[in-house]
Amino acid sequence: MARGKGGATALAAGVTAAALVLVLSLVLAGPRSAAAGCNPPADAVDVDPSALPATQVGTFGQDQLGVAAQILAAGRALGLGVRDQTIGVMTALGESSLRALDHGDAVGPDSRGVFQQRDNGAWGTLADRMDPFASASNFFRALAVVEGRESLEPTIVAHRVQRNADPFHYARFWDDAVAIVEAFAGTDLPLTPGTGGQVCTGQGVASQAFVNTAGWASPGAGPVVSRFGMRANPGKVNPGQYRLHAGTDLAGGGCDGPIYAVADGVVIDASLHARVGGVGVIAVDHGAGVTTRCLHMYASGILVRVGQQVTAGQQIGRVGSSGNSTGCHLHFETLVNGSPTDPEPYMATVGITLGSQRKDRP
Amino acid sequence: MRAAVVVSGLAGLVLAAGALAGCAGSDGPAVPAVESSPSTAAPSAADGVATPQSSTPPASPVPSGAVNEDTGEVVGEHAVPVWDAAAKASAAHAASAAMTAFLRPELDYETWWADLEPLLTYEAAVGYSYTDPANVPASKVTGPAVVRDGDSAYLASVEVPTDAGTYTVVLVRADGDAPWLVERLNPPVAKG
Repeated sequence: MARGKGGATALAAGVTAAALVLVLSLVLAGPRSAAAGCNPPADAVDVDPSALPATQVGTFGQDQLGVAAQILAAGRALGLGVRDQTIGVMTALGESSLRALDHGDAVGPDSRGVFQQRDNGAWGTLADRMDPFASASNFFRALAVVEGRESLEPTIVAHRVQRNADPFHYARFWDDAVAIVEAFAGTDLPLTPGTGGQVCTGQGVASQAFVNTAGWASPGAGPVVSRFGMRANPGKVNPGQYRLHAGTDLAGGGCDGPIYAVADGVVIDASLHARVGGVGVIAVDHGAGVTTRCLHMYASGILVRVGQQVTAGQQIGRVGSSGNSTGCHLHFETLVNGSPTDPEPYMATVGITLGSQRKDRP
Repeated sequence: MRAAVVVSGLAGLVLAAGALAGCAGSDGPAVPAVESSPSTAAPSAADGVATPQSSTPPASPVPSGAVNEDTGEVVGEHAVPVWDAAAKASAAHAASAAMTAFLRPELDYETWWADLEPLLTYEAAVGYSYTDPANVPASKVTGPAVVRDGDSAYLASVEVPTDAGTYTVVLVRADGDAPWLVERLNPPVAKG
């Protein structure tokens, strides 16, 4: 069960890792995210750990909720916000199911406690590691120096503290953590289930677009603001050069407007491309040689991962302005057997009028 | 779905050849024809997703060698990937190589990362760069990789057995000429 083991051996290596990532980021030279507004403010400390829920929450009983209370109290004592507190609960769920384990596992026989901290000097004495409040305090002190954590996925924040094998291990524990923290708070918090692997955790549940009887949806709101074709590049990268505008630009509802998968498929790209200013790209392979791509999201606006199956009309992103862009919009491409194809006539053949303000033919 | 990709891939080659011939000798700025004549044929429902007939021509020929202003990609520069025996073999090799590099808990971080990082996508590298190799629970690959059929010629899902259970490696390639890179090294699903 326990997989993460923070480490101090780690500190030196961690610095190297940070430096490597910094170098990679510089190569990308684009904004990693614009996440400032999509998470609860860091100083929002409202959860009262003394208000222990009277009954169990989900499958978690009073002993486990008592441990959660200690974690929340430790985060509060350090002045951390509710997102950080919830990351603490998520991490403990992923390490120990909120139990102060007096044993480790195969990879870390010296791991102990709620956070399965190792006996390497980074996490205090055995008594500290076994004590929920003390171990959580040490966890949060390490979390508090994770650079730019508001712009990182909860599972990635946890991984940078724990340095376990799998960076994505904790994401599946996020929803339980949110339920537990909300039970303490006695109210809904600006924390969204399903976002343990996403940068933005506070923007609510993703929306769903209208899907026509042929199984297609529009990628985003209109109107069309620029068409497909060769043109003098109006962008900020290589301006004026004769280039292919390989898609249709949609207003998309402006910054953070929803972007939808136009048909069922599997995600084959969900990243920032280095070649032109770190442009965000989501590409979906729909089969039969048809691929669609959406551009200009920030990292925080990429809501899917490579290999993920998506369905028509599922929200996969949020409109941004990364890369060769001078303002928030959705650039939508259709590729047929790898060849850029004008999206407007292509989508018309499946009953979707790009940029239309009305519902397309149902 | 694979078969469909291959078949329509051939159709695409024909289309591409037509586009090439169409633009040969025209140096002036080809003003893109905005109008097009989309096929009136009813979309087929094969594979659950109706797609326009592949005989639908592009609205205007895109000159081969045109540069995508948003991605820097050059039209026609790279092959469209095909899911065939060669693709499977290269995916199996890439997955085994990545797992072999990943499962070396005895190494210091710098040595471990120097060998692993080139095998990962950028997004994966950002994540795995913070892993401490000493915390990787397996230590060796114990058998041949098994490539699973999936939904895209751009993706491969490969099972690699280790002394701590079977990992599922997710790989992706940018095009038919690009190497497989690792997106995820998914550990065995935890019990309970």
